Amino acid sequence: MVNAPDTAAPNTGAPDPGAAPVLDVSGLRVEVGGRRVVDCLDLVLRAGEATALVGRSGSGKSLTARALAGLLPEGAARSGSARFTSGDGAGADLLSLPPGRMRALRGPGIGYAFQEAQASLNPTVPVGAHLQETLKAHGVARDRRRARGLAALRGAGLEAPERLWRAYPFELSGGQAQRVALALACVLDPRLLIADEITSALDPLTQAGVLDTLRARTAAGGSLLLITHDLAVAARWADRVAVLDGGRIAESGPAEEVLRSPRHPFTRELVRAAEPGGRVGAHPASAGSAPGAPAAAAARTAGGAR
Amino acid sequence: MGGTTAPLAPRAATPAALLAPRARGRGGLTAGLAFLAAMVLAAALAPLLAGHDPLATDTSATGLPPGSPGHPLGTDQLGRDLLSRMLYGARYSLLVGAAAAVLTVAAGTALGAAAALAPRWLDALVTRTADALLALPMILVALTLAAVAGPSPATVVLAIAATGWMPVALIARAEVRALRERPFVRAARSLGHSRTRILLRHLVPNALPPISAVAAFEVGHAILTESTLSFLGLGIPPNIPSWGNMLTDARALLLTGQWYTVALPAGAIVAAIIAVNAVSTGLERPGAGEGRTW
Repeated sequence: MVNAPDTAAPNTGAPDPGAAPVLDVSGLRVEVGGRRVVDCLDLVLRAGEATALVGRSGSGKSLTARALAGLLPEGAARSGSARFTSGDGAGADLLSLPPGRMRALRGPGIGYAFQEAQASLNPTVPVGAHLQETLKAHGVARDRRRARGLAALRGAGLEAPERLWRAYPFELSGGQAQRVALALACVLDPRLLIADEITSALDPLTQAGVLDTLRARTAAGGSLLLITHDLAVAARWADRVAVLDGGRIAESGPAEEVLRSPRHPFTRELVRAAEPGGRVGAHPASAGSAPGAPAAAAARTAGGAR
Repeated sequence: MGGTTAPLAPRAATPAALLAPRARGRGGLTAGLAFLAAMVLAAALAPLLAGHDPLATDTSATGLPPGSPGHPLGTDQLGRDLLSRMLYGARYSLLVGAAAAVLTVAAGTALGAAAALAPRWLDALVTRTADALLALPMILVALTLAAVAGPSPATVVLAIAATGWMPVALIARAEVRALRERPFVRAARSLGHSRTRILLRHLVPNALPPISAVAAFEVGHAILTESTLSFLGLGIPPNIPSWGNMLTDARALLLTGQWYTVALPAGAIVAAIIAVNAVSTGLERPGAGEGRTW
């Protein structure tokens, strides 16, 4: 594991005054089987803002997100603090919350959309039942569940949700499954949505559609943590970027600034590797960043989704 | 939005539609189901089909061979009609077999799933108990239980469940443990579902395919054990007709020319077990390669 030197992290974690932090992560550590995978990670997520957590494969992005949502695999341990502020202003440390309260927070507080959309749907349960059961688990009245479920599917960009209501996961296409999984993560209107590499397996058009849907949520005041290894995605759809290297935040700040003029050597290398004609081979994780290069994408951010 | 209105794959969600492709090319499954259905129907309609009281003795018609007038399958040494006894016996044998299998599978699945999710000490307790019981001869445990509790259909069901839950529990435990880290279980946790809900709705239903294969074999095993215990005088009381009791009554006649008194109940037991096994084999691989577990 390569940890970035502390001195080379000029704009790490310092929150902008004024914007309300939804999640304030401080000193997060994650250990798997005695090996430290995430180390002293600081991150602030604000309302109405999309933050991209980027880094090469295996840099600890997904483990960071799973640690925050309390979804670490067996044998993994976490420490530090992650202060979550709910809509009514009440705060709680996610890392020390009792299981019952954490369970209540998952769904309406924190939504989590997974990379493997098809696999994240129970193969024996139809789409509609997934949504209804989730609403039931959080006390939504029976007569309102179907309408809310259909609205969530529509909100995720599925134009004829009634046709999918009784479909089983194996009957969905990849794009449909991703949107259903997104609808499920958003059906309780979470304050913070974690999107974990959700567009990696999608074609560029579907990817853009899904990410536009996510951005629309932040416009309505939600907070979004976008986990991706694709700098073009980060550049176009995120307000802020945090670059993860060896389990630590190497650099963070406004997306345009970080990607246009990276200060940390690792970020510079990452950006260069994704450029057309760049040293792609040096960074396998960035080699497949399909739709557009970061340099061009960074230029788009000014007039793009921001 | 791109790709959102793509037509769905052909629907196959109704139970009939799901069964149809399996039934095609699965003659064993269809034949097994049809045979079992016929057996259950015959047992249910025993009062209409029998024509005689299965307990009534007729000293003027003892030891009649199959094909005798008024007694299509003949009579036993006490002049009791064998067709009536076979039909009424099917009621007890099938009912006890099915009840024992249901109890065995339910207890095994519950214990196995609980062990998979329980603290380590409880997991160890369940698995070690299962290992220890597996090491004991099953018939010895069943005989002890039946001897202590006295012969009755309920005792037989309990004895079979007590000696048959272990393989089901070990399979259920292994399946649930494997499923725990599957993405859809993680997704259910991320949506705030309770542990009980995740167990009942996500883990157990997806662990059922291998369990159902074992369950079908448990039905056959239960029918056989019922017959064995009844044959040994520790199962269903001798005054109640069951296939096992009929074997007990007929064992002395095996070499006397009245072979049919043995062959009829023995044949019924063997046929029922083969039918159940044919069904279980037919159900083993549904949906394989179709991206679903059912």
